[in-house]
Amino acid sequence: MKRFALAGNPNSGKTTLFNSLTGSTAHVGNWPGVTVDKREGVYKKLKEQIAIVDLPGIYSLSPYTPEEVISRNYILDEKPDCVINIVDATNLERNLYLTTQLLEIDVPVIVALNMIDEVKKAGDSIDAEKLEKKIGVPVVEVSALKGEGIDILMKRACECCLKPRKGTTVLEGGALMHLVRDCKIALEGAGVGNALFHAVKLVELDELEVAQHPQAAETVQKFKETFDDETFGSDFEAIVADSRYKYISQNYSNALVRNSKTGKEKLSRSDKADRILTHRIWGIPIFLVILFAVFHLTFSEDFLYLGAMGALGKDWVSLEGLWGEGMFGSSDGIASPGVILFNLLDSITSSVSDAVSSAMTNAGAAQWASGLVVDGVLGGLFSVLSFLPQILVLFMFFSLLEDSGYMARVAFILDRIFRKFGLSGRAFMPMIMGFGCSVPAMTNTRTLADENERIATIRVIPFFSCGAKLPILTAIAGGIAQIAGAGNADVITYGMYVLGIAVAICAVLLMRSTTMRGEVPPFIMELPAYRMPQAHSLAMLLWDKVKHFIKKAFTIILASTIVIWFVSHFSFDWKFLTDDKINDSILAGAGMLLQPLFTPVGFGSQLGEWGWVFVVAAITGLIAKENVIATFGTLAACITSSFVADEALGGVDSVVQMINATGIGVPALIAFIAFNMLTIPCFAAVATAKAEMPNKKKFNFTLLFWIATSYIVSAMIYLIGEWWWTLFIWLAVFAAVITLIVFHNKGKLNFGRMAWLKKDGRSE
Amino acid sequence: MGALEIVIAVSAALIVVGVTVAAIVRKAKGKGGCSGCCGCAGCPHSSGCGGKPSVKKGSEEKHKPYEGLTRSQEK
Repeated sequence: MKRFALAGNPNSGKTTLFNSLTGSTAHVGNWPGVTVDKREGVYKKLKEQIAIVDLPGIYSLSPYTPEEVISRNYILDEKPDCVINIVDATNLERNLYLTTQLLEIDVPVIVALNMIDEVKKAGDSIDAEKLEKKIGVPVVEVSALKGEGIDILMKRACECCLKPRKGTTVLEGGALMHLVRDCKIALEGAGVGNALFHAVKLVELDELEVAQHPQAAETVQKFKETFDDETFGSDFEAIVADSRYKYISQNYSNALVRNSKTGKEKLSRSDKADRILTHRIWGIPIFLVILFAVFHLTFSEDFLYLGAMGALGKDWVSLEGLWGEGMFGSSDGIASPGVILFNLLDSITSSVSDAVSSAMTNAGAAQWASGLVVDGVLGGLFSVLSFLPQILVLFMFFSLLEDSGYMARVAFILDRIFRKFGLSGRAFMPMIMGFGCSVPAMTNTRTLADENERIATIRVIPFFSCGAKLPILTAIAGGIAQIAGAGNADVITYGMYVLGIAVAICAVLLMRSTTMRGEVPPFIMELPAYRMPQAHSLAMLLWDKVKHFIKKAFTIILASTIVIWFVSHFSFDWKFLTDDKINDSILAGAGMLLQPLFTPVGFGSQLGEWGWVFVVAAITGLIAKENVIATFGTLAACITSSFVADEALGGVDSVVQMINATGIGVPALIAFIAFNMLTIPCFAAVATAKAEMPNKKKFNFTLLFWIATSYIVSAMIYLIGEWWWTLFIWLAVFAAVITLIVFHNKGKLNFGRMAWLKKDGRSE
Repeated sequence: MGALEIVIAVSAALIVVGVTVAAIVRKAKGKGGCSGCCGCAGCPHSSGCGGKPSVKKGSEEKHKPYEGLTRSQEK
């Protein structure tokens, strides 16, 4: 099977083209660096099937980050039958820089002018034929998003791959060309393939090439001593880059005919938007307001604040006695879209649960069987599943912000602040991905060039609450709102998200000023054009979320609920226990044993006989975070001591049940959320962190870091919430720690045995 | 124990064993634990999942593995 590689600049539309060619649904986003690993698919529309390889975006073939190495190595070593160079036609000159490098490799190349529809829409035009003659390889106009020109592209790529191609360079005739030729001859003599490409890279003094061909590098070095360019001195890399851009400007750029009037108008509109959204002062408050609006639309039970203003008057919103009673809100307020969908699914799951319960009773099922199915399985599953609509609504908004290009702007405005804490704005993109799932977010840190920055980012990614933690936040926030009347659930949920971000910033600051000191690499990111989010892309993302969530619910969570029910209804001597005796169960025994450990964080021994449920829930959450609420759902219906329920309960109801049964207070509940949010993430995320860490030592330290952070932060929340004056003790402790760090960094303190802290600022 | 109870007990046992075995098999095959995304084209997260960047055995000698050197450090 032939293999075609898709190569191009970041955010040029490679993955969109890949999806169009292979019918895949790979994640696309309107920011550079979405793809960090190669992936394969098959194009089946021609007689012969063709393997398509999507590569991470690269600006040049001189890599600086791990994912750029993947692209370079694939093109050079795997020798694809053809390289399809995706060029963002709206940004022709800069994209053709990579093309000039690809042309130096002995591989058939075809240029795909992507986003040609946007060029035409702006009133501009590109003479593809003229460009083709100048470049010397086929050039095809395509629109990956609309699927235009794709068949022609593949047909021409198939023709192209049949003719072997020798590399050519645009440096021909330049001051360095004789040196390139000498290096090429030397490399050819040594039997090195793609001699021209390697020769040019050697002249650029590319670090990989110098390490690979030390003898040829010596020749270049000698030449360098006798060479001096008027503008760039002896910076060969700059001379080569300048030669490429000059060549592009003189030979390729005239293929683009700009409609200057439209171009200026469009630029000005974009600038106007950016002037507000990326404002030095207002940029961050605007981001926080947008973020709050997203949470309000997803979680608020008083949408538009009509209830708070008393504008609703009579309780007509609750639709008392009608279908959908309480679904759209109550006299307390009109529910937000996310809450309406939650209520809808909650009522469906309650009906199913009731029906199954009645059916089992009618069938004369034994008490344990009924308990296992209704309380155990359905209770656990439904308490988690009922949050699916809110998860989808939240991700829909995040996806809209991402696809519009706004998130890339947020990375830009946060760079100034992040830099003070030791990170660059680039680190924000994986962090934002962490709101979806920590696994791809951790892998996306490959786009960060500095190792210390990468490790620090991986460590704090779990603090950005992922979708799996959402049920914990929403259920407990809903429980607090119901029981304590402590404000709207959306404010509590939003507050917890902000807390996660704040803890992440503090943790990074601590790491970068102690064990992981180092310079923050410069942040250069291309701001993508504002684009209208695509309905198809959004639908695919949400569909994937649904599939992923349901698959997880009916595998890991289902199995977990069965195990939890089993160990909560059997004693150590394998006797079946009825609901009122589950305090004698294996699960209760294990939970009670660990309870004292959690006393400082508010959900330990002080909670009495049912307190172990919180401990057990936090531990089952290590398998999958949804298990925390699934555990409440499974056990809540069994706890009849202070609250009566004979059926499976929804997520919020099961939390309310647990709050009533244990008498846990608001500070302890918030500490419980914080603990689950900040502690060791799920197994999948832990495995990814292990794979992405440079060594085992750093990974072990990461585990310790997660445990310590979650414990300290939740203890702080609980203690300050219960006894406000402990705030001063915490402040004193922090002041002491900061003073020690400052003195140590200034060299005024010698920690003696802690010399490992200094060791090139890297080791733990 | 009636037929219904037997069906429920056996189904519950099969689910737990099935999920556990599937997880072990996935782990043994070297796939990730995030239920189904490791480089396969059909997965929207395939760009983000998978192990470390793959370096071919032969290419390890040809290309020095990435060591996190940045432009600023280079200078």
